[in-house]
Amino acid sequence: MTVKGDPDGMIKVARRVLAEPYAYVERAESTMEGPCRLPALAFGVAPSIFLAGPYDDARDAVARATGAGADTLKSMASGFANVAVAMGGAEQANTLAPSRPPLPNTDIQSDGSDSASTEAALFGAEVFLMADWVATGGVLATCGILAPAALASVLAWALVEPDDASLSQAISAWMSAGRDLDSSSKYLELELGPLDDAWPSEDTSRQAFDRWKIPFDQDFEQLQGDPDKVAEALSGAVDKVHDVQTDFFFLAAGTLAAIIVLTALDAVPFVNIGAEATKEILGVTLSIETGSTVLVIAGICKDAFDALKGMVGTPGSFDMSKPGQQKIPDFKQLPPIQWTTA
Amino acid sequence: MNPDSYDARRLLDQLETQIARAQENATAVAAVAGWGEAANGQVKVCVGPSGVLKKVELDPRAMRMASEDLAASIVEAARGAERAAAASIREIYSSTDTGGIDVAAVAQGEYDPSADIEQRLAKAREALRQAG
Repeated sequence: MTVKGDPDGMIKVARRVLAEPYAYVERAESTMEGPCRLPALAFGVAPSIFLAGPYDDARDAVARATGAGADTLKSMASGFANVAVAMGGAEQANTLAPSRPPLPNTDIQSDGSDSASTEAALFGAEVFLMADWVATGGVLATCGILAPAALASVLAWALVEPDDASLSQAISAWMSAGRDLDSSSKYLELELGPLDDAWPSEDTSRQAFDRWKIPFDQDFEQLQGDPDKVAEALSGAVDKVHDVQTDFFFLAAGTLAAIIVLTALDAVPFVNIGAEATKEILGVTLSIETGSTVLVIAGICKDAFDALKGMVGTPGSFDMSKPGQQKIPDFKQLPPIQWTTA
Repeated sequence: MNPDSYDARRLLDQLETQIARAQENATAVAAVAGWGEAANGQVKVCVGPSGVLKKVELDPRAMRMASEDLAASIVEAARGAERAAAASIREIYSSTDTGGIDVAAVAQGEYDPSADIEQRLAKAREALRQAG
């Protein structure tokens, strides 16, 4: 089949698709496979049972979809090269390769250094759970020293020790991956612009490409939103845990104030009869409140990661007649790239 | 205290201040003497911070009262003294965070923690219900 058009222009577009558009998607996938990983104990021992499975499943599903998106860009470039051959051009699709252009650095926070924290704060990804946790732990430990019945609260609190560095890194990594996918999309639209001159719209192969591109655009748009969804789930969980921690800190601080007052009263002759018993009751109550707060934090994490379960609930159920219905795009469900045979 | 800007040194300083204040208050409580009177001042009673009788002063005219009336006046004066002692204790703690505890009631053995504890446990139960 002979196609009318400019084969050199087609090859140029194919090469450009394999430059920034491909490079950004490839880097997004690499980010999801690396810095987006989150240790199971990021929110502490207690929530780990809810975190490990759903989060990794969601991360893996989005990373695989992104990898498939990158492969589709390669296939798109090959398709353009095949069209160029059909136009009479000499260059074969198998001579094309990604050109790896230099990209601006990512803003992923990779450690707990001040400069990294500043960058993370700039993108709203800095996590401050540890300060609350340590402050509250100090208050609980003091309660335990003055009222041994409160010691159980110290042990319970240890179950929700957060990992600020890992959480900050994962959130900023998802945000970075989302920005890379956005950049890829913008570059792709830019690089496809010259197609109109090189490939006439009345050609049947061009019309086949235009039909193919509709579901591709829908899939790619959906893919762009996925990293933000995971980042929002993580950030939302962090914000809620922070609120619970702060409330509990003030409750624990109030209990400590009462225990200190009662401890001092122990030294007053004829006054210490009720003080010791009240201290013990306060200590037991604080331990129960700590236990319930630990469960609340675990519940917050469960809710957040249940939302991620829903996100990956039906991969592969892409229905061409119902674009946008699937949670994560499946690029493998796109029609085959055989534009020149249309 | 603000947990968001955690500083171990600051927290320790605040704790030491709280303990020093608690000790000062406890010393002041130990010195509390609550006075109460009855029968137009003919019966005066002094109690310590826990309500324990420390002193009873009877005007000579009180000795002419019927024994039942005198006994009732002493009880009345003692109750007034207990209330005065409680008021003094509350005044001592008026500018101190006691974590919601009524120190006067604790000192006089009248503190019933059940209502406070039930309130806090209800919060814990609600939290557990939401987490479940």
